[in-house]
Amino acid sequence: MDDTLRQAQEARTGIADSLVVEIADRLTALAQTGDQSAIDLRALPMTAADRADLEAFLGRGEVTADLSVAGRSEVWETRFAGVWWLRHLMADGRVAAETIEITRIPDLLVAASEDVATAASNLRKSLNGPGTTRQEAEATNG
Amino acid sequence: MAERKTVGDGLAARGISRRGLLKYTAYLASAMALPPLASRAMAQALADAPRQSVIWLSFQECTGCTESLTRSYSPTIEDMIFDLISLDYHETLMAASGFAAEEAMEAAIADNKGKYLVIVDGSVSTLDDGVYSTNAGKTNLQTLKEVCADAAAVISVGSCAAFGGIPHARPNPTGAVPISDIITDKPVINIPGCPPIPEAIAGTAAYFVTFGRLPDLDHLNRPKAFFGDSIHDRCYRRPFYDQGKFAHSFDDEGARNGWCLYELGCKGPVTYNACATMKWNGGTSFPIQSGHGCLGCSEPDFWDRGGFYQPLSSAVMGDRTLIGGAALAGLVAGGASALRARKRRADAAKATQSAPGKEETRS
Repeated sequence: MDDTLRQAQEARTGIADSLVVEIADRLTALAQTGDQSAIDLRALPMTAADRADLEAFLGRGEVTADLSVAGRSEVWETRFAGVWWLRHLMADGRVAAETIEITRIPDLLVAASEDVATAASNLRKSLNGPGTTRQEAEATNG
Repeated sequence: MAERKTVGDGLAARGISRRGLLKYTAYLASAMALPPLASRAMAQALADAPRQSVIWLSFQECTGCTESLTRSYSPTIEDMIFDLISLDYHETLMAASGFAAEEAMEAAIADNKGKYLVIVDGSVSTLDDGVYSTNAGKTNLQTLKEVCADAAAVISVGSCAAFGGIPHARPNPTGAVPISDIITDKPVINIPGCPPIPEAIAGTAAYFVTFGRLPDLDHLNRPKAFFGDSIHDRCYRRPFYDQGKFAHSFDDEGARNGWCLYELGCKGPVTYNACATMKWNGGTSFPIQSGHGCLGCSEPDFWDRGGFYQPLSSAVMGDRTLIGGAALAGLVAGGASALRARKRRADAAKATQSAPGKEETRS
């Protein structure tokens, strides 16, 4: 990395300070009305230093999840309950998307009903081999 | 096709969960500058949508655009575009050849009348009825008209398809024209660049599959999400331009210090593209970061607009007074950069419209 690029990445633009105020407003809204929201960090002209400042200020709370979904993703609740940091990585470790979600739980962590249905079917098949789901067993016995 | 599966079915068959789809739509929403919560609705819409039939036509081109899309560095997420689309015809990528290949295209057209998407890379030869570029016994001109007749929309990928590109450069021996000169009764989206950024190709196609309509476009029909800012506005060397610190040759102190390349011919101020933010080769770098000015490859007729190494103020891509004025403003006023960016954007838009060669393209 050339010096210019390093200097550009080390500069502080003040965006981190502004974001904290915005997150506070949105968290108050979540508490009072249940309104969820999200902030796309990649859409903002943040430098590496801005991002590090924001991450350090929000800190880490009680929940951290490491997802293996089309490459890795990291999700953690910050030290402020209801403020979640979602970082999606590509196979080579580059950041594909990075958002802050102000919500009780990010959708990404909830098992989707389609996946649950597929999993239930797969689990039954794997229990006793093919042809032995409860319905099939009852049909055979009945 | 009648039995065409939904995107969700296809992903499930490959063992990709809805979380994987949600991650992909989060990536797309970010790339397309959509509201971050849109990713949820996008994931749901995509899961239920049939895979989009795509016919890819290659005319007077170098295959660099296909290389750009298929050689992206992170297969796990960027390749998911191929779960969204059914690439029914692509001469370079398809296994079939000869009559079988042409039959596949005819079947895709018949099965998806009015719904399929045509992606074109390369310009179209029109001189002498277009005989200078032919395939399967037909001129590109014939093929384009026939294939686009029942298409939902056309995406011109690369500067050749979008603006004529290098085949259109003087003296233009084949009478090459952009796709939009031939197809005038369908929406034509331009994704220029030589080659274009792969995320711009995939993102635009994915947007169409998800929402069934085109994204917001600029005055040259380019998606604003990728072509809304100039290279200059998002360049990490921009502060040096504001301070009046320039490299004057490729080996002087300014070049070694990484100062602005404006005087070495950088076309960043009049070029609209996402290279400075998305970068190339897996986010590694882009021309200016490697020490070379922007060539302006995503603008019309970039090949014929003066020398690549002449500064904009002496050999410009547009009106020299306007751009000279913008450069002067940059030297004098260091502070109000947002205002200047807006002015330059307006100037560049005007400059593009009054650029030499433009009349030639559209006549």
